[in-house]
Amino acid sequence: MKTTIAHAWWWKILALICLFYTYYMGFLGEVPRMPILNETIRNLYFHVTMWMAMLVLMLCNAIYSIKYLGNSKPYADIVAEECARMAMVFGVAGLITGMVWANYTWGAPWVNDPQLNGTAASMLIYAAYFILRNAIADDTKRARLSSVYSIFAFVMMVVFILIIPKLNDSLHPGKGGNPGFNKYDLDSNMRMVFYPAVIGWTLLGVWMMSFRVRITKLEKHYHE
Amino acid sequence: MEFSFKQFIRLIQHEFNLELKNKQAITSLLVYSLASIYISYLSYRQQLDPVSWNALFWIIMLFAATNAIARSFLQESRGIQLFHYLLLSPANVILAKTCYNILLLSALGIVNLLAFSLFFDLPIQDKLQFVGGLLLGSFGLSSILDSCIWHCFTRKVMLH
Repeated sequence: MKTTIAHAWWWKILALICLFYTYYMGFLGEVPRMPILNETIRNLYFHVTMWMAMLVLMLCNAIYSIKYLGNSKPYADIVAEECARMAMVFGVAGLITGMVWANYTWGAPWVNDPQLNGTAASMLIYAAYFILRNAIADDTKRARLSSVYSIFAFVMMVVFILIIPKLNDSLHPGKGGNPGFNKYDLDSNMRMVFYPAVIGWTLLGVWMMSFRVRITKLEKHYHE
Repeated sequence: MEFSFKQFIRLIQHEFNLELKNKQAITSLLVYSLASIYISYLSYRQQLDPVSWNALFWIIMLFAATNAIARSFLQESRGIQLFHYLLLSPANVILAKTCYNILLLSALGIVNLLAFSLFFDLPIQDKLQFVGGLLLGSFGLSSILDSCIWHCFTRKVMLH
């Protein structure tokens, strides 16, 4: 089944259409005017959606790690690693777009905010995941240890990104009494771009991940 | 064997290849410095006066330098070391290693400076002068640490 989905072309076309739509509507579409946010509200289509794509890819990483612990097939381990790598790419992209945005709305690229602190901590946790992977020479041992680690890492990331910021006041829009996106989600104008953008970024991540998986498999085949 | 420029260039290329083949060292170096900067950000909460800023910056640089240089000697296998011992002049090997580490530390220093400027306010008045000092500092750090570690290391190899 995995080969049929990897070789199917329709979702790649869908990803391209969604991303083209996101870029077109994101830069040229109508957005509501808000006091501080102004035009920077367009970052919702890029920054937030990249984080969503990152969360989906990290979830894939955790799922394939559990799968590997179940069946011990090297394929699951390769997919888990490449999911984490792609998620890091989206995480860094999300961080950079967020910093550019924060520079114009909050006046500084990095402020002391529970959401940002949690993000930085979880990025460091996943960077440690790659160090752990590189530090172990034996293939099966590396796969087993990193699978266990990535399950813990995923739980930590959910706590850091989704739970702790909800418990504290955050500077982010829609939290701690700040003007949020929810008010004008009612006219569902922004949702019409937001959801396709999430789908588009996620599919792009999966697409790039499948390339990386194929490269890694070929490299393994070559070295054996 | 006397110094030859071609050999020197080849050895620097060899260092780069080693680093690219095994990215673990450079990743852990980056994560080490970013994590320590982040921890100091969390504990200082933006109330960092310029003197402590400077102390913190150079302490992080010093520890990163010791890590990086010690690891660059341990990375090569014993067989490769014997191979180098037979074919190359020791001056070449140590010069190439020192030059490579100077490049590595300068790059790391610039990354650290960027990370510091992201988390803290920059108290630096003259940025160009500071970067010059940073480059000279990484030059000094890597040459002194290289020669120290090289000294211990060759003794260890001879004792084996």
